[in-house]
Amino acid sequence: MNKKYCIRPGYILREIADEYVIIPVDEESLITNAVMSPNETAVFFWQAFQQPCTIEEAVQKGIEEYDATEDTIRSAAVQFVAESLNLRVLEEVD
Amino acid sequence: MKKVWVEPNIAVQQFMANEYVAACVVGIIQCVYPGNCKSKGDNGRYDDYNGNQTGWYKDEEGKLHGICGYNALITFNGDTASGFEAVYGVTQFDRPIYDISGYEEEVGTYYNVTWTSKDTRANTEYHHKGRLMITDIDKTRPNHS
Repeated sequence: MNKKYCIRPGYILREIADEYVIIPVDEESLITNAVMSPNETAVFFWQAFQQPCTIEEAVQKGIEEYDATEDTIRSAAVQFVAESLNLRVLEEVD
Repeated sequence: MKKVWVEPNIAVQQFMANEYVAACVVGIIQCVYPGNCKSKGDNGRYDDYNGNQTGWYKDEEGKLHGICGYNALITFNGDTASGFEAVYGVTQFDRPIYDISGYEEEVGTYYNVTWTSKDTRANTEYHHKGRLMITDIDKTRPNHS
């Protein structure tokens, strides 16, 4: 659980009219010609992993910010990391 | 006060580009009216060009043809339809080919394709008609040829 992960370069997160959008701009991205619309908690994890961050660090930030149990937030963080790694949105960093 | 928790979710909306992007077309082009080969104007005969130009050949439209019977390996942009002639497999950068027309952006062999080439040293332009064999359409590299 001490592995650090970071959002790969090539994605731009923008807030437009109270909504967030993520735009893939890297040709190597598996998601192309698309706009990604994250909900508020997805934006939270996205921003947490914009700098190198462990799952545990993200969970602790989540506990401070959200009215949810630690298990709920940890489960969501693990799933976010797994799916983002599969889509090559996230990468493991040293 | 802490925020209300909702399960994280990212919706992905795919969209189509609204601008036409040209595919990179790879193929071999060969004129049917080269110098002194036997195939002058005969779309059924190719590959007998010996490289010896004995003169110029005028087609039925009065267009002049010269040394152009070698297979020219070309890659060209579907929009600009331009590449270069090749002699003995060597790309002749002083002999660009352009205005290629009479084909579809599909792998296959096309006859009666027309194109223009230019001898940049002599500043002379030639018009051609012949065969284009498209071997690959690379749509992953739009506008890259």
